[in-house]
This record gives sequence, C-alpha cells and structure tokens, in this order.
Amino acid sequence: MSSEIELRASLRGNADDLLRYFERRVAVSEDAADLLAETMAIAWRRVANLPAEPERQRMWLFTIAAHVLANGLRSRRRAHRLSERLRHTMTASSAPDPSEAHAVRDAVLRLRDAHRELVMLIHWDGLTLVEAAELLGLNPSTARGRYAAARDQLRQALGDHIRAVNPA
Amino acid sequence: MDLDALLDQAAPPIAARTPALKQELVGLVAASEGQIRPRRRGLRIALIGGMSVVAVGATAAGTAALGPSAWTSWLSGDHQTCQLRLAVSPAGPDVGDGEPNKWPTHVDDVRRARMIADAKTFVADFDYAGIDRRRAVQTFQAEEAQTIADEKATEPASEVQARAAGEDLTADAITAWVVTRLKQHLSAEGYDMSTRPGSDLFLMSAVARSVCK
Repeated sequence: MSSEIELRASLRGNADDLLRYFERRVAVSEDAADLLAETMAIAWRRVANLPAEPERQRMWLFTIAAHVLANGLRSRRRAHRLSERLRHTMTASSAPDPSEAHAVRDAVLRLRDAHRELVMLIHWDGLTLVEAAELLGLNPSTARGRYAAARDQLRQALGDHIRAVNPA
Repeated sequence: MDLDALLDQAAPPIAARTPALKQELVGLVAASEGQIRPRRRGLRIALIGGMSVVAVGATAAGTAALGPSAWTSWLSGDHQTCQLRLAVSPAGPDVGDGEPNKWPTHVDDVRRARMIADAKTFVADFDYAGIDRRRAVQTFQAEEAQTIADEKATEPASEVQARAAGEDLTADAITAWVVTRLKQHLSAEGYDMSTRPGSDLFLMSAVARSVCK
C-alpha cells in the first residue's frame, strides 16, 4: 500500500479524534476546524515520513497536531479555506452536562500545566499514559509520577463530589 | 463514582457528531490531499548548519521594517541599494510544522541569556564591510546544492526549495556567512553548537530581513 493511501486511511480514521483534541483546547470551537485542516495539510506535505504501523501513524498525527496547536495558540491564524465548510457544520453538542462536570473541569484547569495536559490526554482524548508521555516528550516513569500527583491533587479538590456520589 | 469516572464524564462539550459533520471530515481529508503547496518564495526557512534562520526576501519587506539599525548594504545588479539586517533571538522549544523537537530537556535560563547576549554582541560588532561577497555566494551555493539534493531524496517534489537567485541569493549568502562565524565564535566560548538534539544550537534562532529599493 502506498504512503498516500495509508495516510488517507489514517486521516479518515483519526480525523474525529484530532478534531476533538483541538476542540477541547481552543476557546472558539470553530478554530478547531482550522487547526485540523492545517494538521492535515502538514501531514500530506510530510507523507514520506509516515510511519508504517497504524498506531505509530496515530501518534505521528497527534504529534503534528500538538505542534500545530502550539503554533496556533501563539499567533492568530487566518481561517483555513479548506475548513470553511467544516466550521459551518460544527454545532454545539446537545448532550447533557453532568452536574459535577463544571467542578471537575475547574479542578483540572487548576492543575499545573504539565499535570493538566496529561490528565486531558488520558481522560478526554483517550490516549494511554505511555502515548501521552510520548506526545509530551516525557519518559513514561516521569509521566506516571506526574499523573499520580495530579490525581492526588484532584482527589483533594473533588473530595466532596466523590463522597457525595459514592459515600464511604 | 470514582475519580476516573468523574474525569471521563467531565470532558468539555464538543460539536455534535452529526452525519453532516462526519461527511465534512471525509471531505476535508480529500480536500487537504489536493492542497500540497510549494513553499512560498518570499519567506524562506533556511537551515544553515542546523540553526533556524528565517530569511525574509530581498523585495518582500518594506524599508520601515528595517528600522534604524540596518547595517550592511550593497548595490544590486539593477542598481538598487539593498540592505540587510540580522537579529538573533531566543528560540522556543516548539519548531512547529511537525519537525522533531530538539529542544534540551533542561534549560539553564541564566546560561541561555548569557549566550543570546553574546550572540547579539557578536552580530552587532561584526565587520560586514569585510565580507568577501563573491566567496560568500560560492560557499552558500555549494551548501544550498547539498541541501536541495538531500530534499530531493526525502521530500515530495513540491517541497524542494528553489535555488536562491538575484538579491535573495546575496542576502542568504551574507546571512549564512555571518551565522557560520557566529556559531564558530559561540563554540569557542564553550557552547555546544553541534546539531545533536538538545545542543545549545537550538536555544537561539535568527531572522534575516533584507530590502532593495
């Protein structure tokens, strides 16, 4: 299978997850469409570097996405022409927000940057701890320590919520 | 409910995954495939021996962008006066564009600031009048030919940069000449100017801005 065919399949398989990754990290959800379009454009330009294994391809795309996000947050991006239709198609979710959600998100946002991103990648983006560590350029043991520290802090911050739902 | 469940359920809301949105994602993949663009000529990213140098082309910038400290000039082939300014600045850990991150794991901020200050002094005090422009161009073209050969071997044809020409070539050659000597100077001062990931080289970048009028 050629790299182009593999990348096409990989982008189709990961586009939803990549869009979700951006949506949860930008203030204006439509910006996520632009960032996704930029990620895809870069992936096509670098198709020669596409890894062979599907799981590596997924991490390769997420790595590009992380760079695109970092660059995008530093400078205002022009709306990407490619993503115009996608931006218009994105509508707010009608899914109910659990009552505790705001408190939990607030607690996550209060974590240190390095801890917060680990928690988000694992719980909101579906990455394993090892994958999250790779994306953040950490060795797994460092990531494991930071994740444990983040969980301790979250337990302290959310003690009432945990007890209220599941009294000991 | 345990902490894991609380966290999983607290994910910020995202756009509803409607059939229309899924259809647009498929369309975006197809559209992006057709958008593999050649690099813009006006803004060339030149990797001169590993150091990130952004070169803004000889006719792209306005005179005002040069500021009062433009320091080297030459007469172009079509009798325009060209000026070039080089500025050194700290580089961030993110090089963008999906490139591998070569930023050091640990950065000594004091040492880094000292290195950048040293680099700025070197660039400000450089003897630009003493540059042998003909030799600088020859040296640059030899390096450029190797870079383009490497790109042809590893990049799609649309990504291979064109050879510099005209006053862009002179500006790039002068920039490369100064940056090469800057790296030699910093190396002599004890900084690691090698291209291995994590070296001091990746702590700084340069912008070369040139204009002809």
